[in-house]
Amino acid sequence: MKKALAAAFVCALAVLLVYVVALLPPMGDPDNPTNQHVVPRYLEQGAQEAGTRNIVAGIVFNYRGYDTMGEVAIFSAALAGIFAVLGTGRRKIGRAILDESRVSFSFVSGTAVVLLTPLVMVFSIYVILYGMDLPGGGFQGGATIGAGAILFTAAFGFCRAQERISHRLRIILESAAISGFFLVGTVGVLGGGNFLTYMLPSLGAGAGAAVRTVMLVLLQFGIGIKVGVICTSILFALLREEETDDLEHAC
Amino acid sequence: MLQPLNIVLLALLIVTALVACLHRNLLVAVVMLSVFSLTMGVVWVMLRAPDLALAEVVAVGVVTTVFFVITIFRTERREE
Amino acid sequence: MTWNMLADNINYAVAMVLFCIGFYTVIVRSNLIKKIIGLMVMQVAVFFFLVSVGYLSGGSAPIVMPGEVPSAMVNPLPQAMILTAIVIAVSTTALFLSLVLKFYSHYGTVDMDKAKEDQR
Repeated sequence: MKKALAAAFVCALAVLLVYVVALLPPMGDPDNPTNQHVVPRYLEQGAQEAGTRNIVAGIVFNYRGYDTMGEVAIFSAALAGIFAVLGTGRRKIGRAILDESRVSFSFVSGTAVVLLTPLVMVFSIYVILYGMDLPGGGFQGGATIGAGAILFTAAFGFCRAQERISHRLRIILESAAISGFFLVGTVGVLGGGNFLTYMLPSLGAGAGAAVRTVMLVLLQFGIGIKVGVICTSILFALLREEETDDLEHAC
Repeated sequence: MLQPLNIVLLALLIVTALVACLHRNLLVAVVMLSVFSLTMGVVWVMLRAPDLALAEVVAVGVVTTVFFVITIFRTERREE
Repeated sequence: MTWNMLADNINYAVAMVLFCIGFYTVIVRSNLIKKIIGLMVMQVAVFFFLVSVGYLSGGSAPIVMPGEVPSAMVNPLPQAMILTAIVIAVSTTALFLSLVLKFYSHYGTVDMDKAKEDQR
């Protein structure tokens, strides 16, 4: 009974929404209200003002830099919540999914992953670095780093992966990344501009553009490394089952 | 946007979303969610958004799917 | 409203249908993992709708190549917003999954109705 009522309600909602959405201006029309006002300025002057050829990256890092800062804060808050619920993994790991008692080294997958993981990491650094001129960017490269860590963990087990990417290394990388983001934002303030401007207005045009490119690259690396480290931390938090202080049976 | 390729992609989206939401075996549902995300990646490329295609395929199609599979492994596999 | 208008805006209509599919799953299914899957479908449907609003017929990707006309590019502003939104979707899904693990270790089941019955 409740299911039928819910189905009827959802069907009515779907009909209403489809009716409303069909009344919108036709898709792809150049005279749509969404394509006026701000967007022509982004498209025409974005490459010079933001310093990137990828205009979406220019909007994300330059015109809407505060939103990116907020997104990074949300991701860190999600990691803090996951640590609060599942434990931080600072002590020794007693039991985990994919630990050595349950997974045995398979020659085929081990060899394949040994060959693939460096390529995946190099590809993710390529995606982060070329995010300004080609499709890509900080977040995409960071998620690919996380995918490489997942690959490594799936083939070699949780304990070997934890040795490679230890808790201290992850904390240092993540803190450095987020501090780097805020430091790059503050450099603009020191130069006399606003927070998150990437120019020191005292420099000339050529040197100013070079400084801006350097700062954007640092920013994208900061975000990419941060997202990759957070993804691996979430993976390890979901995998471990028991923490212990007993060093004999620990991982 | 009524060309055959778009129609096929949109129909695939709806079919995979229906299977992901209504199937009782949770592992099948999660794999269908991953297929949904990959189809969405192709739709992003059709909408001329390559950044979003990269982000969606890697973040939702790989990373979130692995998290789901780990959670299903640690809890129940069928929905009953 | 004619069918021609709907045929132009079919992307929007499919996005709304996907939203309703996800919504039905969230409110009807009592399994927590199904609810997360429904939530993810809803989020992707909204992203699809917002980026299709910014589409330009015959436009190209918003990357400045030498010798290209900037005004023939697709609207890049919704794409930037949805990039942030994808990150947020991933992080809320990960947090929700960790809460489901804790729920399972406490109640022994992932089904909300069964957990409520067992508590009584």
